[in-house]
Amino acid sequence: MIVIKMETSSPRAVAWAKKMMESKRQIQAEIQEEFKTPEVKAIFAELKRKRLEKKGGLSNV
Amino acid sequence: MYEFFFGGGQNSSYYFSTDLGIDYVVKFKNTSYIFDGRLDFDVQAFEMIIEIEDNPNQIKPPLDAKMPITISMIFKDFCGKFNERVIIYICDSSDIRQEARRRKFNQWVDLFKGDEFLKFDTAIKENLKITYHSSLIIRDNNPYKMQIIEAFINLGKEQDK
Repeated sequence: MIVIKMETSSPRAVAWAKKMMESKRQIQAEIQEEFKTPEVKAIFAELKRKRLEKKGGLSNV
Repeated sequence: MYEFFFGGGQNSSYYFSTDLGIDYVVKFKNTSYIFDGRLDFDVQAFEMIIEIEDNPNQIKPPLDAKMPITISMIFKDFCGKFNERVIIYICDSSDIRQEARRRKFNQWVDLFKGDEFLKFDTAIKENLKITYHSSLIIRDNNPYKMQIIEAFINLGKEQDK
């Protein structure tokens, strides 16, 4: 992989970064709301069930 | 690696749960709009977001060897068949732990390194304490890679125009 790096402290760049962070926080808030939905709760319940099953935790269930 | 579930949806959501019962979601939000009017072709840009959805024990997640491979497999699953997809990652700076997040993200990216991808990092310093780290990851065989990287650099410069 080629990695290129750029550093800046220009006010315009800072304004852009803040705008992107604002957008990110909006998504983070949406994620917290999404977690409360039955659909997402069911997805995690199934993932956890499968994980426990692999470990043998539910072998007698 | 943890088994993950692709839930799809508007933000292409992936879900997985760790051995400690911490629930994570990885989303790819379409942010193509940030390139609107800057290039004469459409850029398929997505912001990658990695979040904890539930941490029942409220403990700081410890180092977990399965995390990097899980994140990298999700990344590859999303980008796999689409050479033109461009990923943007911005480190959360709300709690001044952005340096730690940058290091962790770089560790994850290292797992799918090779000649396949290019990574372009920006560090935007607001003051001595706050630096915003962001990365653009693009396939090396993307025919528009130079134009897209140049446009990404110019995003910050042109924000106030």
